[in-house]
Amino acid sequence: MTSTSVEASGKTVDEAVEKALENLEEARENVEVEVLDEQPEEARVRVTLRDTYARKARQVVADLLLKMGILAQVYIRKADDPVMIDIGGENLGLLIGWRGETLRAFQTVVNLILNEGRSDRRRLVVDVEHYRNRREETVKEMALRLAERVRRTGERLVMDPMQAYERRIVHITLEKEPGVKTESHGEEPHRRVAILPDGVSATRTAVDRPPPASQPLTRQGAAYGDRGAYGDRGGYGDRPRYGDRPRFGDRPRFGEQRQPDPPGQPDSPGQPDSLGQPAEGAEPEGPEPQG
Amino acid sequence: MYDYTDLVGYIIKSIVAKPDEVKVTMVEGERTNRVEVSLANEDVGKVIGRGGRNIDAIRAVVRAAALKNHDRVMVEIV
Repeated sequence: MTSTSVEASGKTVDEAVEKALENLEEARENVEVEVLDEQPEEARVRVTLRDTYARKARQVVADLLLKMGILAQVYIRKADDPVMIDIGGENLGLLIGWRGETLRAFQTVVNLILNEGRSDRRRLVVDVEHYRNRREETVKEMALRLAERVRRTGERLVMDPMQAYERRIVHITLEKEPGVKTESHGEEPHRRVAILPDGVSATRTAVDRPPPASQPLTRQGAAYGDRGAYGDRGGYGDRPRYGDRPRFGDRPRFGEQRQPDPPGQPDSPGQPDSLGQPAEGAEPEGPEPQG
Repeated sequence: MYDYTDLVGYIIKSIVAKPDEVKVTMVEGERTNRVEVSLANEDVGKVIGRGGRNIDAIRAVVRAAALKNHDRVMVEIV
């Protein structure tokens, strides 16, 4: 990458540097200053942009997009801790992929290229049209909506498998919500968050009683309805994604009898949690979920 | 069918210790096209990554580029 430099003059060195920085729209810490000439009432400087990590990152992102044949603008949103690069343009859904899958891969590749041969690894975040913020909002709203349903019905809900970062958002969002608590179960990449009424442990019921294979996964069905704004990105229409996805018809219909867990009660073996009703307490992750 | 050797070559050469030994060739098939990459033995691990993390990411990026042109491309290390 070639470095940009600008020459400027002023009455003092400081004034000349100021002018050059204005010209470059750059902060003082990102440039090298070279004094070309200094006389009373007249100073000339050359200001050169330092090759910062953020600038290199922008260049790598731009190069990669060019070679992918994707037309877009690349900006530095944040210059440090961590560096954030924004990609803007139209029809960039392709670059985001289903639930950000492609964006994540793109970010991995950019990080690989940038960190090659460096001992001080730094994290770089790539975003497309503020997808990350939008997704975060979607996950928060979904978590709050499902928590409300759990409080109302006293039944636990299991969300779709999510990224570690997204699961974290759910845990944090619901941390202070009264009447519910959250747990993660299953192995990556199928790890899911369960939202349950406070005082009920999903773990022990699951360990005691793995669900028969033929059993409809009732609770999951409810959660699957909430696939957020990008629910259609799966590309398989109504088909089950992991082979265990319940159809809409598996959900309890209106007026159908449910067996709610009494919310707010301490955990006890006699509780009608799921031991008595295997269909209601079905634990989709298998016999040994982890907290 | 577009040429993806430039994209694949750029990524791989940027992450290996011996970029001079990287060779990228396109093999056209009936439905799927392959981009075959040969590289120095010592760089294979780096390109594949832990649990295939790196090669999976590279494939996803190439797939996205190909999707735009309605192409199907597989990246393979030979």
